Amino acid sequence: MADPTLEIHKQDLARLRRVTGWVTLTGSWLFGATSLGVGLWFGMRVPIAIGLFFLLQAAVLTGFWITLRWRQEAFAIRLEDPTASIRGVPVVVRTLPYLAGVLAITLPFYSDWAPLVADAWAAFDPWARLRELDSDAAETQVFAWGLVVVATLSALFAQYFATISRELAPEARGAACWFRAGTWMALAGAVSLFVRAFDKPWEEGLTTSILLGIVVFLGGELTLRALWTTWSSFYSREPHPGGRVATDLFSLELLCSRFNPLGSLFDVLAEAFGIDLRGAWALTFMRRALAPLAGGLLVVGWLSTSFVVVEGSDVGLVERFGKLDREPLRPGLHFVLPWPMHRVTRVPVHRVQTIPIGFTGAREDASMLWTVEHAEEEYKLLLGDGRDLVTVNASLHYRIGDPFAYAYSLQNPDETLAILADRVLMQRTVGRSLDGVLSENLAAFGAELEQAIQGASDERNLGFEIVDLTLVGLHPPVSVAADYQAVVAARVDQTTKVLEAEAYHERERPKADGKVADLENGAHAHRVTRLATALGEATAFQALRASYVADPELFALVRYLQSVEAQLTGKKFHVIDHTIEEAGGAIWLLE
Amino acid sequence: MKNLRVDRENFRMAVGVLVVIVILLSSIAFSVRERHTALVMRFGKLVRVEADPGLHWKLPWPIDKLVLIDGRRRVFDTRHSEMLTRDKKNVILLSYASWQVADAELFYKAVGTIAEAENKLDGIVTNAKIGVLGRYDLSALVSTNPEELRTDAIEAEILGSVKESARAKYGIDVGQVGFKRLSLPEENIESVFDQMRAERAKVAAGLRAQGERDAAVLRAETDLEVAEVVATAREEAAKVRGEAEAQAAEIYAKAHSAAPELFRIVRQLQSLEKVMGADSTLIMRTDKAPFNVLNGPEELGFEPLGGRN
Repeated sequence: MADPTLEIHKQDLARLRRVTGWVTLTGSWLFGATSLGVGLWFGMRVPIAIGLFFLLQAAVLTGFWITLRWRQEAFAIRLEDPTASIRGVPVVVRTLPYLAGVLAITLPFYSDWAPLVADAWAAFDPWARLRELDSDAAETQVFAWGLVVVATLSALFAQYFATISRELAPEARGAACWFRAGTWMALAGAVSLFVRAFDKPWEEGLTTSILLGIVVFLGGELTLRALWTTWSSFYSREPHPGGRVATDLFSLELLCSRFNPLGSLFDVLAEAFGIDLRGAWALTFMRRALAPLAGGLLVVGWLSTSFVVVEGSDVGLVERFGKLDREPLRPGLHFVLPWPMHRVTRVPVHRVQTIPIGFTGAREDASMLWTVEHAEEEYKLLLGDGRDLVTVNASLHYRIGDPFAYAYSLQNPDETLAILADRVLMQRTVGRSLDGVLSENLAAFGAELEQAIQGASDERNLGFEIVDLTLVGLHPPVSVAADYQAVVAARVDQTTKVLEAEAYHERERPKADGKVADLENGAHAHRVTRLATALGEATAFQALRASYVADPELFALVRYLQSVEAQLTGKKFHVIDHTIEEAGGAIWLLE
Repeated sequence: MKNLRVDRENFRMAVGVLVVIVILLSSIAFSVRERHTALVMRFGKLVRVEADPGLHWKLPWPIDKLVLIDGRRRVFDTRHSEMLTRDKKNVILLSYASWQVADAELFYKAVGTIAEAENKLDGIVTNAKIGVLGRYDLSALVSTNPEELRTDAIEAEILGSVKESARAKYGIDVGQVGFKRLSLPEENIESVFDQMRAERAKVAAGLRAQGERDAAVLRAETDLEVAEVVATAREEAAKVRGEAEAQAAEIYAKAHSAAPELFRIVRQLQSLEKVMGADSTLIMRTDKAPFNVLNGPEELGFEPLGGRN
């Protein structure tokens, strides 16, 4: 009794369910997971974003597929018994949008929470690979081709779902939108990876951010729609729209109703608001002009790689298909074949560059004192006696003398020069003692280092020309510098003491001379006085003699009496009658 | 209108063809840069090695795969590692190695990337370094005696034990292994600093003591010199005085010898004057002048009227 149209409808439904389930659903899950895995394993960020998108799409399709199965069952029951009651929308379909939405919002911020997870999970840290590994160009290219294939398949699925009638599956249009979005995502990823594979500087971070932003946005809309559905089924008792909650996202409908996002936008606007912008002349012109404009820009951009400006401090080395074929380009504007035929490497030959020797991370404002740390790390170099350490602060100024040698001798000439400078410094310190190093003439030592570094550089054909080596510090490590200065203080003390003793000598010596003079003069004075006295007395004696010779007795008497007078005047004296004694008497003088 | 449409179709076709050509070219042409080597792998098997710089051709992916290898020399720092010398001294010896790809195919198969190669090389160099240094004393690395230094020999020995296996296992030619910095482990540095401080304190104390000693010597010398000078001066002065005395005595003698009687008188009287103090009390006799006059005028040489009493 079955209606033949219903029978066809039933068959269509079954087929749609099979296609959705086996082909698109499985494909989306598989590709999403693969892409995410590839991205994590090789540390490529674009595949991570694309993988997350396809996993979100897979979740949405799962909801769609379960809805189809539910509808098919309901259809079969209705076909048997039109009055039979139908079971409501499955719980999975109700909850899946929440889960997918929330995950889509949170997962893209993996780089923020990954370190936290990594810390907690230090033993097994898949994110470490993500941070460390850099993908190989070849792998990138393979994956880019894979993305092109996925884009094509997505486009085919989109076409297929677009043909499904609304009566059969109202979600199909939404699913088509998802696949169109998937096509664009995969293409964007492929372009980004191709460009990267060609080794061109490319803001990969920007692409990733945009792609992840799209995933987060879709996840947000999905969550909001799920909330809205739950709310309205509680308060307005509206029937649950099933898979359409997830498939019919407004943003996708707006931009992906057709493959051309702009056309899709106009279509939706015309349909929803009755505004047909396509008629407007300006917009028509813009739409027509857009493709040629983009193409033109691309061509001009490519051609502009044939104009090369070499700055004043540089020369440009030109490689044609990798082969060095001309004189180096002097500063100015030059015309070469566009990339990738001609490739120009600029080498700054005139710029004097500086590297620190003996330390890293110079502090600009630090004074160059022994006891003040003037760099983040100062190397403590072991000296010849195997016990002492010394710190050297020098700056090496150099420029590239031979651009060809610089570009083609070594992969990392600048690093090599720094290493050689360290080596030369080591060779010049391991054979000396600290006192030997400290008493070194700084200028001569600097010149010696400079010469040795130039020699080492020339030996390896690095192409460098050492301009100057400034040795600003050569001293014991900061922690013991104060003790070295204390020795200097002790040396000063030593000199001071000796000087003081010399001062004593300077003071005492003249004093002694003075004393000597004093003694000598005293003696001479005495002699003079003594002789003068003697002579005077002799002369006086001669004079007396004249008087004496005239009458000796009288002279003696006069002199005697004069003396007695002089002695007795003013003195106590007793006169004793000599007859008493002659008479044998005694005289008693009692006081 | 129709023409325009046809033109647009043609234009699109042309653009499409151009894009296809560009994609095709990009997948079959490749350039080898100066001092690079390109390996062309057909289904994973090496079929061609291109070492000449310039443009070359291959079959498109996925048939031919291209591997580009930089043939320039590279210098890298090996990892920090602590070494123990034969005389059981811990030192931190920083070294570097310079290498280049010698066998591109082996290099690609065995290590593939520069980072991986340096990782492997670092392992074998560090291993060799530990082994070789264990056979030398610290004085082979640092010494104030240039004859003890064996740095070149050690480097050569390490290079010798690394070169062969790097070439055979990884296709790498190691050109040089060198040392670039020699220091002590952080844990030992503090004690080295203490030692340096103690030594400096010793030197400072020695200097001060020397100063004091020199000063003392100088003072003593000064004192001695002063004493000597003064003593000589004293001697000289005494001599002068003595001479003066002698001369004076001579003068006196000369004068007095002419009239010894007179001298005796004068000298006796002088002695008397000198001996007499202000408080001396004299006892005089009446039989001596001038008190003999107390005995009577006859003492004056004439007879007084009253006669002797």
